[in-house]
Amino acid sequence: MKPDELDRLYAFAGTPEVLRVVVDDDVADRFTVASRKLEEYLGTVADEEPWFSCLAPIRSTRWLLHAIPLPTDHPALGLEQLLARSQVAEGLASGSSDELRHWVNETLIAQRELLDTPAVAVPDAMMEMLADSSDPVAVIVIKVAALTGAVTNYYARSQVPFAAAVTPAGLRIEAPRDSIFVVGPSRQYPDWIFTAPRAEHVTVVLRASARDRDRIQSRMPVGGLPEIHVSGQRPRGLTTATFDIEPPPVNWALLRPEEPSAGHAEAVRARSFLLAANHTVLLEAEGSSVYTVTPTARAGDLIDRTPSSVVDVGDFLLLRKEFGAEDVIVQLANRILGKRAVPLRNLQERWKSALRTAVTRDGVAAAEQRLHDLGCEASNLGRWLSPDGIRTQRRSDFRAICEYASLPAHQWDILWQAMGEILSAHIKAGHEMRELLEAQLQQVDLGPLHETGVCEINLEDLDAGALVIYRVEARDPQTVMVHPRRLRVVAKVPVY
Amino acid sequence: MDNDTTSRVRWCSPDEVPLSPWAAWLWAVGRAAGHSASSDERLTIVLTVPVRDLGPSFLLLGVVEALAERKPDVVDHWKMLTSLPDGTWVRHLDRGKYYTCSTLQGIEERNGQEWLRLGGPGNLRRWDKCLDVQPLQPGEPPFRLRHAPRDQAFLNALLPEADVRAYCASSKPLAVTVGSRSALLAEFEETRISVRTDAGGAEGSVAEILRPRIQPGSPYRVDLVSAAAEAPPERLNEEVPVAVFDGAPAVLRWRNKLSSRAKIYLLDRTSASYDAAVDAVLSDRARSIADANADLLARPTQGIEVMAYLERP
Repeated sequence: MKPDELDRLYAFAGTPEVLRVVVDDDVADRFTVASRKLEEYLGTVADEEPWFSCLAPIRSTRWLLHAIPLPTDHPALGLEQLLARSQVAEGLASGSSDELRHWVNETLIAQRELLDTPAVAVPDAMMEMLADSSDPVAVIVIKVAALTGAVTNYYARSQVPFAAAVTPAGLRIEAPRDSIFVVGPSRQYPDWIFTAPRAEHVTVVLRASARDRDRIQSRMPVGGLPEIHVSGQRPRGLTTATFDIEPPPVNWALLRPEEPSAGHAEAVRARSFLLAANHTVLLEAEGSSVYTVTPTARAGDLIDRTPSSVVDVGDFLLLRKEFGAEDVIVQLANRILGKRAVPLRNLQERWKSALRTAVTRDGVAAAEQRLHDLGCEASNLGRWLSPDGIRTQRRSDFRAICEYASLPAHQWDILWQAMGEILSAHIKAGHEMRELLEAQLQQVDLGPLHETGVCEINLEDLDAGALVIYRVEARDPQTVMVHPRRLRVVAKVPVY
Repeated sequence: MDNDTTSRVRWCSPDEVPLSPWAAWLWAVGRAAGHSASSDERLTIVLTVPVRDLGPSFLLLGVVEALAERKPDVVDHWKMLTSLPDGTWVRHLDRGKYYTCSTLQGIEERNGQEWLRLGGPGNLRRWDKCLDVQPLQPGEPPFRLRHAPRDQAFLNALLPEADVRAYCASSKPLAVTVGSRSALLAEFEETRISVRTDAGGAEGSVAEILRPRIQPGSPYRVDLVSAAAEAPPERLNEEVPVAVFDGAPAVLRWRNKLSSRAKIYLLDRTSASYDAAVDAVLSDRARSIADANADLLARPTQGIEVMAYLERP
């Protein structure tokens, strides 16, 4: 960015101004209230099958209604298909209490009405606000990447001053401007949209039935910016109740793999991620890193290594089509090691399996304590157990591990030297792959990636097969123990 | 250089716009970190900004300003040189265009003046013409020839109190920055600033001041390490006074791998891993000795958040 653009961004962040506009829309609000009442009535049953799957299209409808500023009969929203899938609720409710059947009926009637009498209050209000802003480069920020194109086309046709609809990731690289309009509850957006705003005026467009926060706090306990107040209250006369509006939840119970039998020596702790286009992958919960892509970054900065423990919704993972990208590094490193690869990898497996056996025998807490007693300064057992960990940073730590794992003392230095050879080969392989990927990515149009969330790349020079960039759509709050073979393997899942 | 250095600096543009407040403030933070590098405790400064562009450049300009070699007094410098044993390797200017290395060969007296004898192309130097003669840093290997900067007007204008010749000849890094090497190098090369002086002014790129490490063998004052690298290069076993971590991934992966006296974490609030980096930093702070309450840090400029704490060495 140019200095004058940077000046504007710092100025916006110094005195952020966030205004809330609440839009009343009878049909949409009635559907929100009815569907929320239905969930409230069901209580915890709503998160169990068969109700969880039954409610999925209803929750999706509600999310789209609040997150996307399009008329409810716009084909891109797909509310008609969602309505058809929602009918299952009638069957499930039959024979149940009057109150349950009442809320199911209310929900389905309101959902049908969204199509029969399309709700247009939000798009109409948006048109008006865009016209008032007079900013020819105003942008609309939405959370659903797949619908940025549809929203852009809808408003571009109307001749109001407007540039495009973008997701937060897309907004990050936009030049500063006068106005942005954030659609849906502010709490669903990253705080930086408000604490590091890309526009002088940030307007949150909210349906009357949605509940939202009034203030946004800095994460810094000292030296932080003052609290940001979202100004603009609910107008008097709005009688509808308000509810938290969230994206439809993921049924992790269906996606999460079963844990191997207790005491499995090789099991590692892992977390499931739902990826774009209905894919999933398991990543190590900690102690490992994955290749990530930042499509909006400058050349040279596109590829990064991110600790798998911090991978979150909106990140772009670089994964091998059939296996993880890390396997490409191993493959490349083995090529660099040549004939030494097999004996060296056997040595790597020797200390790892000895350590796994000892940890399985003693448990993680006892193992960590014992390693500490043996003089181990670092505390990174997860990494050392992970297939990616090659050796420790300190030689003394490695000796402590060998001692704890009951490896013969005469092998400790041999193992350390051997792991050093593997490490050097990995570093060289990492550089090689990064350079090839950077060069390849600079030739690929990553623009559509924001909308589709998936992009395939072929690295013929590496003979590594296809690599795919996937956007992370959801992150399992829980972790599970799995066999290392299951890590980083991308799998297709049923439609959500 | 004093606090109003930045008031003499302009963006290189036809209308010579004064440096922005945020840029001047980051420069001052870099300077404060540089000065703190000689203290007993380790200082960590955490900055959160709305955008990272040019942040490392201005932080590092401040660091370099604080730590660049100062102009020695001619008499003191002569005393220092004469205290060195014969055979000590020194670097010095050769024909005004190059730096080269020679060994000290003793003192001679001619016409009532003292002269320094240098082995190799240096020959004899009168005592008051020896400011460019500098002993090599411990462990620094002698070299044959290196280009001396042709025009030092920009360096002299921006670092008026520094011994610019010594600064350019040395390869002792004053700072290391962790981030995207290519992006940082491009930023240093492409960012141009001008400095007003009594004699008019001079302009140049940030890279001309920072002298980043581009390739092995060339002299440099700011080292660069890729945040994606597996481990620190061996050359960083020697402590570098100040480390600047550019971005959340650099902070998450590298903050415990470098042992600089002063560390600056530059976190972009828009980064996907911002929250994780803040969690990590807050956990470090919980184990620190105390918060640092330097005056400057208590008065951040618009849109910047700052937190600083002290740790035991």
